[in-house]
Amino acid sequence: MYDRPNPFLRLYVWLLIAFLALPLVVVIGSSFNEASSISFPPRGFTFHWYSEAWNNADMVRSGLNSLRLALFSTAISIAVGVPAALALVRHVHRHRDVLQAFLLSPMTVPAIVLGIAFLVFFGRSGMGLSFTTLLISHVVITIPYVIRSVAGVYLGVAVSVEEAAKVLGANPLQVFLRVTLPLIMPGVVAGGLFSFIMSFDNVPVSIFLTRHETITLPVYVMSYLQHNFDPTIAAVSAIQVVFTTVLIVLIEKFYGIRRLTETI
Amino acid sequence: MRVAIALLLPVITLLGIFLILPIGSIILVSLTETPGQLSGVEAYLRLVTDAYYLRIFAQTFVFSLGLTAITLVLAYPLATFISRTAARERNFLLFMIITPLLVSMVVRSYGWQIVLGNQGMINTALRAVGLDGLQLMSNWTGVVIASVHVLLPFAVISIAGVLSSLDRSVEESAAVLGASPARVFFKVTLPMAINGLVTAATFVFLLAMGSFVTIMMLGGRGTMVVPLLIYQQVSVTYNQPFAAAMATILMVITLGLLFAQFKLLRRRG
Repeated sequence: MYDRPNPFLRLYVWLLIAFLALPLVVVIGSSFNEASSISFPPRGFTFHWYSEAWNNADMVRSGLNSLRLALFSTAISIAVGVPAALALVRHVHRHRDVLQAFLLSPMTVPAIVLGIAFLVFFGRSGMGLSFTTLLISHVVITIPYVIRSVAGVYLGVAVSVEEAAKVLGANPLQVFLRVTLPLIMPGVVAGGLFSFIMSFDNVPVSIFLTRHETITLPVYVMSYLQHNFDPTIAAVSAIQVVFTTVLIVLIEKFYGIRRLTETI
Repeated sequence: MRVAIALLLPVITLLGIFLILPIGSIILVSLTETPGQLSGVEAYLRLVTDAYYLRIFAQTFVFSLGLTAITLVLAYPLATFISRTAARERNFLLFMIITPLLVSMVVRSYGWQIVLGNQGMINTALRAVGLDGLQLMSNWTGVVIASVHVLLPFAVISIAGVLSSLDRSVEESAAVLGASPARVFFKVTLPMAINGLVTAATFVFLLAMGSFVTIMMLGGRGTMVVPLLIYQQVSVTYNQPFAAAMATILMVITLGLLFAQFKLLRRRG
């Protein structure tokens, strides 16, 4: 019963996989639909909705905002998160679990609570709502993903490797650049991709902090859908599905999808 | 020690200012009396005595609990399969599970709108064969379907992680010694896996308690939950102190639950 999976179990597994794929497949399918309302089965085949999306200046700008926001917050999260992960694994011994709980806490507090907390804080401290304060909030949300991925990889690196480099005369900077960094690179790449996706898709924080000129793509799409239901959104969504899939293939290449599951 | 401080200084500064202060400020705002608005102690009293708010909190709790149960039951067999199948099939399945997980929740909810809407895929198909359409959206049905879609990958991945760390030979011995599959599951596998399953359940429950996008996009008048209420208080009613009080309660429940789970697991060893 253990080594030859039951055929019913296999059928069940594939049904669930189909359930998981369904909304993504449907979105891609409707993006080529000729009808101006979402309808099934799709009629005809057109790229019209892609050009419609491309010609919608607000939508394009929100996409560029999201891209810029995700790139900057990922870069900052890596710069701040990698040293933190190194310290957490090698240099902190007492109260390590407390420190870890604190560093990962932006993941455990409900996102909507963070959203209103940022709104109240930026509003009342006089910092206001701008691209900068939006970026700061996204750095706070994405840092834990970098720390967790990097710490996960670094835990598997033997201390003796770095010790050997030191004994052979490398200074701390050389040890980091020539030995540690190459070894933790898979963690940095995976953590970076994770934080990029988390920033790019965020709604519960962005919805409180964006204004007309800083609006992000998911927030724009949600407000667009309140008044329209045409396949323009399907086209934008299809692009996002394809984009995410490419990122995951990259993660698999650099990191291995198996190990990714250990850091979710 | 000095190295540790140098490495941790940036992150501690950043989170100290931009995480601790914002959270401190909602607690402060929630406790401050603002003239003309439901705020301060009065706001908290209203939240714990008014039947409407109690119902929304209860509804959020029951929704999250039910969703956790459905998700774990659906996820368990899939996780078992993944932890036992050959590497090639496993990697493909993981790919098929992680891809939806990382696609924007807005995109996925939109996909479910297309599937479940009144003019959507399922209703069009039903009408084509002469049946009546079903109300699958703007109610709990739609919210639960889309939420299971969001939570299932998390559950599968964390349960698969637990199962693959178990010593399979113990289960095999039990089976060889004549235990039925059900008996092996309840007497051997479940006791070994229980700590990991509790962790997975807590994780899923917390995500459910905070869910917002799926409810906003697939729910209707009847599907009010605390996160949505917080959003409405801020964006529609403009009552920040009241929203801050609700957010504080939600946060306390969340952290209390995490703490309880931590204690429970530590006691069990």
